[in-house]
Amino acid sequence: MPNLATLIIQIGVVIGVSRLVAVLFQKMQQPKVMGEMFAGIMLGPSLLGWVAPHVSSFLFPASSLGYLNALSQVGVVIYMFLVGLALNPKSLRKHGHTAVLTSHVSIIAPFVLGASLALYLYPRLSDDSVSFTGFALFMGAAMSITAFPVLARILSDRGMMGTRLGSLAIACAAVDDVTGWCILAYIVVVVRSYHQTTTPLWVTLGGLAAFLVAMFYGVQRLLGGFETAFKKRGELSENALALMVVVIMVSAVATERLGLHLLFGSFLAGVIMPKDAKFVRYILDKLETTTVVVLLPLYFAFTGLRTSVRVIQGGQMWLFCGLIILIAISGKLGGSMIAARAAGASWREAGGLGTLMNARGLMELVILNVGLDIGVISPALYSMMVVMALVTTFMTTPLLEWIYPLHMIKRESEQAREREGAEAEYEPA
Amino acid sequence: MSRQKLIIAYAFLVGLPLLGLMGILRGGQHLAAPLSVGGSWDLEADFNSLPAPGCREMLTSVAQPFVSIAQSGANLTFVLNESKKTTLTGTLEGKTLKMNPAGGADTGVCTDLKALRLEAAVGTQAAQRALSGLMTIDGCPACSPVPFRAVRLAPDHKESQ
Repeated sequence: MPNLATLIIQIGVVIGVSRLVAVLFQKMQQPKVMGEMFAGIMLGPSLLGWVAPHVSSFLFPASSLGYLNALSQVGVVIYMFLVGLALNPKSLRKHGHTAVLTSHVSIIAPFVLGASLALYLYPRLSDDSVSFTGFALFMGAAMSITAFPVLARILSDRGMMGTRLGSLAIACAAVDDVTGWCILAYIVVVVRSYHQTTTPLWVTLGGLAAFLVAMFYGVQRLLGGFETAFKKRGELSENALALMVVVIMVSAVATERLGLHLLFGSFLAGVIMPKDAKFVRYILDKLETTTVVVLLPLYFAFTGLRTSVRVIQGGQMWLFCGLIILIAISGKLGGSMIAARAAGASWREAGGLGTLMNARGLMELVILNVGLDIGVISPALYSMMVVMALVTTFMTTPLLEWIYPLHMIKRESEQAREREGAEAEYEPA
Repeated sequence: MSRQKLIIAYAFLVGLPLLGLMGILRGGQHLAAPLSVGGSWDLEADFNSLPAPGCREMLTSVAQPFVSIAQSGANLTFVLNESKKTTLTGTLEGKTLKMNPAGGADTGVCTDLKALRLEAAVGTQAAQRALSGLMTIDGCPACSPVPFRAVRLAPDHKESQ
């Protein structure tokens, strides 16, 4: 039995510190999630464990972390469902070639740079229990991910949702996320088959094919029923919502049992959900608050407890860390910017898009935790990549303000509204 | 953007990097990473033969219940004695594993875990990875180097635990 008092104290401390740091970060024009991520790191060995080791071992005794982890994983399972739910393929169609080219380049450029960096880091930060292919592919995937939810939050906070840049960024990030998770699924299969785990490769591949068929041709219809019921009554019954949560959990467990990871299943369940805007908003309202306010901070805290900046010891290790950050920024920001420019965007727009795509946020932490769990990255590399995720997310808002200041966004939004108004005047009744 | 321009841009910005990726994956196959030693190790030694009871107790407590090694390439972090969580660092040079005493270790008293030094050869022949080597305590001649053997209980990976 878990020590309930310890667990409840942990939850209270984590939520309290997260909120406090989030408010401070908001005052610095940063998204709340950035503060929450930072709070998680603060509660781990990087700060609390270093400054007050006795307080740290009282609050987070090693024996209690399993329960904290379990709770936080439930939170991320639901959160990944919400991320999948918010993805809408229609946003991609609106921008056509520009979005397709930009999104694909924004994945491939950091991916290739990340894999190139693996040539240097593999002999220095990995070991022979990991294949080079698995390591290089993981580095590529970790470099190429974009924080779709953080990006959406930044766009919304800055009133950029209606702008051309905003909707293009959302479309590209959606493609990035789906592609990134497909690549990660492949990497997990490669790494686990290298370790010759209990799930044979043919079971994983065959089972995955059957699972996808069942999800797209069976479960998707069932989920369509939820939308129909919502349209009839304007809400869903508690039973329907409970059934939806059961679908998410079953889907998550199925992918875990197939030798992938819990999160692929929950993400897929979100992707195949009906995409009617009101329905999506309704589900988000029902599930988002508890997940974001209570469970996600626990995940950040758990990530923070696994991250120790003190593991990055000596000049050489910090040099590796700096190199990782440099490659991550050049690949994602530079790659997206060049692609957007090649697709016809102005330099300012292209720069703004690159900056937005460079925000990695929570999605990066999720990928890194998967990598550490399956043993493809070492604790030091994990900590360096967490630092990279923090830096790239932190730099997004100030850099965006510099490239694309608020007064320019307002002007563009007004122009867009005027255009829409003019089009509406000529629209046939 | 015209269809022709899109195809050219796609070939240049996506096709070429993909070819580069294949080259990287092929080129990296010959790279060798350090031996894997991360995980939990069950340590065995004849501590009863030691003359001084203080260092006997101290050395017995090293592997309570086991020694944990966190590995990042050739850099190692050892956690000795689960309840005290004494953390020491070390390195892996080829097949030789070394753990060094901590900077502020209380040498000469023979009871400070942080003064422990360890050097061992990594055995890779058997299915289970093994260590064999010597433990010494800095500034404590009464505790002569103690030979030990260790086998890895579980590597660092989740699925193997």
